[in-house]
Amino acid sequence: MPTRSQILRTLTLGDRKILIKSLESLGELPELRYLRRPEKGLIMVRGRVGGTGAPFNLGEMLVTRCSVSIEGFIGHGYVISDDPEKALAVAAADALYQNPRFTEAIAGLLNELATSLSRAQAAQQSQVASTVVEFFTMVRGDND
Amino acid sequence: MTKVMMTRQKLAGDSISGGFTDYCLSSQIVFRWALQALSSPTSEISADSRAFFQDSPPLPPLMAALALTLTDHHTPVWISDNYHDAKSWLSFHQGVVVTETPSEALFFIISSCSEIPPLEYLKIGTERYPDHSATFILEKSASNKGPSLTATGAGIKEKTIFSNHDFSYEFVSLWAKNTASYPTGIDILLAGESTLIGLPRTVKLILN
Repeated sequence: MPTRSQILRTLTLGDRKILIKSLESLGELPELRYLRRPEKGLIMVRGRVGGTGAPFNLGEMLVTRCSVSIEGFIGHGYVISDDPEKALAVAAADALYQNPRFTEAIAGLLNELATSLSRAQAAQQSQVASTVVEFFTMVRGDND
Repeated sequence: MTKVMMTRQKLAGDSISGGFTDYCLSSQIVFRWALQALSSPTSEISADSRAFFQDSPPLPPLMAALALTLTDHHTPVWISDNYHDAKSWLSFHQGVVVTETPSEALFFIISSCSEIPPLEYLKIGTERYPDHSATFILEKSASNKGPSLTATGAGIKEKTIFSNHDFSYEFVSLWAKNTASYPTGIDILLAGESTLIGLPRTVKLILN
């Protein structure tokens, strides 16, 4: 059983086409009420020197967020960039996953997203790996 | 049947619904009301915010509208236990820190003026920064029974006769201290069902 943050991670990073298409294929859904309509904003991304050092501000990033309630189950969506449609889809999927009537359907969607995500990551990694430049220092022999 | 019941309960427990449908426009209108109310103290400004919400908020509509307009993550808010559901609601919508310590709060959302703590326990600002002070969003009931008061001060032509159901003698003496501590002090926004009254620290209230 994945945790909620794992689910949200897959939904947020997953392919938007697959996500939106699969939600549409679920057919008629219960009434969706907005708790927070999709809205854009900047968040400050912070990093730590060397991963463990003092925090510093890396830079601002554009995000879109949205919160919905479907049959009383509350879902939140935060996505990178200006993408109200995807933010809404993530929020809806998060809410539906908590609803026993839809858990199975959304679990199927999550699997599909996770597969395409790991495939995309592997493709990117192999592309990056092919351009790796190995640096090494040759002995200059100045002191000879 | 059981399913319907479950859904109902879940909905009742959903304590974060009831934000502005159009946040940008509504908050501008409400901010304008607050400015009007504070610049013509004791006069009733018509302020009907009921249409701004799709789902009803856990506060009376005008108080909810003021809370959504005036607070943010820089303003600690103290909320009366009479509006218990509003605590999680306001932190969701505005990212505010709900505080239980009156001396930290910049906004108070209260249902009766008897809930106003003595001035010594409140942020009243400093001579240099009189704006770093607490503002009270207070529910006004429809009834106007209460001691009759004469109000004078900036923004009031000569004087007005003013009363509020809930303004006790204790409140009047607290308010006298508040006026005396000018330029520091607290301000009040009295929110009725669809009318708003501003009571800034410059208003002097005298019992008739």
